[in-house]
Amino acid sequence: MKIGIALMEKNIEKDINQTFARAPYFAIYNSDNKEVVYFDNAAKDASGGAGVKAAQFFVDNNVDAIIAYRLGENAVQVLTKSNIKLFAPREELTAINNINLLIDNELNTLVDIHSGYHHG
Amino acid sequence: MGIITVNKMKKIAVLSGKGGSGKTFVSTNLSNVIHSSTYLDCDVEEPNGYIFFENNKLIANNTVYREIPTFDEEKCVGCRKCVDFCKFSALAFIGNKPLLFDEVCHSCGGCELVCEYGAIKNKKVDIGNIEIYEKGDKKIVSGKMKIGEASAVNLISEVLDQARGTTIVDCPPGSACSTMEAIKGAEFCILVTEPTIFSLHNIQMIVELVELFNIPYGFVLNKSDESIDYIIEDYINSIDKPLLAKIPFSKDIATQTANGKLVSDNDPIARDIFVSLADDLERKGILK
Repeated sequence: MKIGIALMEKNIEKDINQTFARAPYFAIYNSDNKEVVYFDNAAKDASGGAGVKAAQFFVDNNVDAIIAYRLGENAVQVLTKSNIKLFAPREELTAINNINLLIDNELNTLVDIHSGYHHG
Repeated sequence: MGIITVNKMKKIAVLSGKGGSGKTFVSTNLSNVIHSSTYLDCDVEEPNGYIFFENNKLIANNTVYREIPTFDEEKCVGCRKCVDFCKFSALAFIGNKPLLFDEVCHSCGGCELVCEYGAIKNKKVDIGNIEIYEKGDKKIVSGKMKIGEASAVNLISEVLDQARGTTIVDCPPGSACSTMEAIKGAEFCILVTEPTIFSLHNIQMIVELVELFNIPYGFVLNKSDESIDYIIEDYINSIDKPLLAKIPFSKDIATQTANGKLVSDNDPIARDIFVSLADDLERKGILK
């Protein structure tokens, strides 16, 4: 299973970023070989449509699940239409600990969907 | 004190950053003292300037559209060119098909141009309307954005097309895309401010914006109170720009404005201030 997350630093021992589409980095963890790949988030500085662009990145990389604190409704639409499952992390845990919980089926489905942070 | 007559088209934008500083107050009253002027209300989320021109006559009401792409599933081969082309990320690519997020779409038409299979056709969607009023020698134009529409830019652009003679553009608050659209083509910007820290902070952002667009500007200090005017005046002096007018903080002015009256019709002192402002703009060559 491939799991996508947004990060403040390129380190899954740190926390998952509070926001998704405009986080500095993304990581994709492959539970089959326990490998993690880090990416600079190209959607971070988008003038608009950051949610769509960030979600498309994970769709194109064939992830199966996303762990995020909050997601915008456009990102959710792109992800769910591509059959990507969405989970809410536990606040007190690091990214890798949350990933391990997800693998053990211990994370709840994400419910915090916002209507986007639009500006002009 | 004379009423100014102008023939050549001149566009003056009135903006403030902070809402409630007095953009509509200044633009309606300034239009009122300029002969044959046009007032364009580009605050399209809540246009109310037309209310101040009593007994105006509605002469036209035009619907405004923008274009968004539609996709012919039979012709689309899933090449993804349109999705990759879209600079605004308004298109996602799911299950080998493009998916439009219409509120993100900027109606640039690029996706239709790059599609080699003729699978994309644009369709018009209604984004609001433009009401055109006449009152004596004045033209009053009000852009009204449809509720739920995300971007005011297309509508403002069409409101600006209604400019005629000396045109006063009542801009939206803030300093984002819609404000930038509203000041396009302006020969001069009037920055309306009030003696508060909040207004000072906002007007500095507006100064940055108009300097970026390289448009000359000056200030109107509204709700002026000698004891606190230094908040704004020190700043204006520090950047060496003109303070064009000061409008006193007055219960009478506020009451008349709240009742939908133009103080330049009803209050001799306020009228003098706006006529002097128009004269000053004329002397500076802005109204000539």
